[in-house]
Amino acid sequence: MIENHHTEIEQTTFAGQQPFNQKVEQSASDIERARLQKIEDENKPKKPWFKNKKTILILVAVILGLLFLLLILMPKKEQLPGVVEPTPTPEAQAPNYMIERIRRLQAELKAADPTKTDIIFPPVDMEIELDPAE
Amino acid sequence: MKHKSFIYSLALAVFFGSSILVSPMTIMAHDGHDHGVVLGENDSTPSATLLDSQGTRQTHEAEITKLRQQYLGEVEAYRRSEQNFRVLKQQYLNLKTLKSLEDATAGTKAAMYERTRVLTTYTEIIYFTLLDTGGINLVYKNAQITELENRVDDLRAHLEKISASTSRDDVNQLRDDFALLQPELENTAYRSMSLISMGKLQTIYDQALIILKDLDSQLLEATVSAIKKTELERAFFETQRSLNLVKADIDEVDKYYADQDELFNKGDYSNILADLGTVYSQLSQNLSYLEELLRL
Repeated sequence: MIENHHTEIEQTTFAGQQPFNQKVEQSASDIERARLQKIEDENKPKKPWFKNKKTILILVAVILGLLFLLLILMPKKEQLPGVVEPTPTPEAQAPNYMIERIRRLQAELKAADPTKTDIIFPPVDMEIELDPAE
Repeated sequence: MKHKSFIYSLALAVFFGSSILVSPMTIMAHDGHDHGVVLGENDSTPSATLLDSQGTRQTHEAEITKLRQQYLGEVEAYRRSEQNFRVLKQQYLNLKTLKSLEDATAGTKAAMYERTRVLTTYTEIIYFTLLDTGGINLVYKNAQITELENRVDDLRAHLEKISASTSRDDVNQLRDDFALLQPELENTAYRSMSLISMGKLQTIYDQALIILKDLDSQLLEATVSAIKKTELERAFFETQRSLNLVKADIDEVDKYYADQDELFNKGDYSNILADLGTVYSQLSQNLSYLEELLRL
């Protein structure tokens, strides 16, 4: 029994070498499998874009997004004429007109600053004389 | 594949989310833009009333501009002649020769002439400026207009005397004549300048009062909530009270001016300017109030 057991084990290889060789064999077979799969995939007939779920999903999303934006903007455009249409009445113009009046007045006030008058008395010598007065 | 599907779903969610978030902002931006356009159009529309009032106003701007240019040239000529006079007078005092006396006399005469020209043109500038300035008590204004006309006549007569003078005695006589003219000239000039400054601020006060009344009639009649109406009433009351304070200060200045029975001098004018400085600040505040009222 003991002898038989010994003959079944590969005695010419070290214990550490056994898994390494197995691994190499395993990865080589994986690569081969992937290559075959790739060839198989390449040989498969390609689906048209409209049968591609991914493409359809993106397309639907973009269309929906655009429609959503359009829906938001459409009522605004319809409202614009409604806002602008009525002829501005004097009452409606009044505040702007009043602002203009106030601005003019502020400019006039700035020009009327009493400390910045430009008509100061002439800087002349009022006592020009050849001989002093008696 | 599962990871990729998740990324696509996330992208879709972000796209829709951003659409929802961006859209209200777009609407808000459009709102602001549209209002801005409407405001801009109205702002740029000129007021027919203001144009009419400006177009029909009678002013002496052309005369004033011409006189101002003339005045600048005359001041320059006066400076040169005054400098020359000082040099010649010093030479005469040092040398005491007949020649240096002759030169000093001519130099004095020239300086006196240029000075009188400057003062004449200046008085004319004030005259036209006073004529154009509104908001002045007509009694004061008319009195000063007459005074200014008299001063211009006096100065022109003095100018003729200077032209006719030849001797040292003539020049000394001109000195005495001018000494008599000077107080009246200063009195008239400082009084007129005070009236011009007072009139300008009085005009602005009057216009501010008109704007307040217009605002009162326009805004208080507008359909607003009771709370808003109360707020507006309080704001009007405060502005009105503030404008009343301005009026009180203007009246004080007016009284000071009227109380100066004697010759008005530079000190009196400075006092009036100091008081008007307060009125100016108050008016500035009131115009800010009016602008604020309009925005309430």
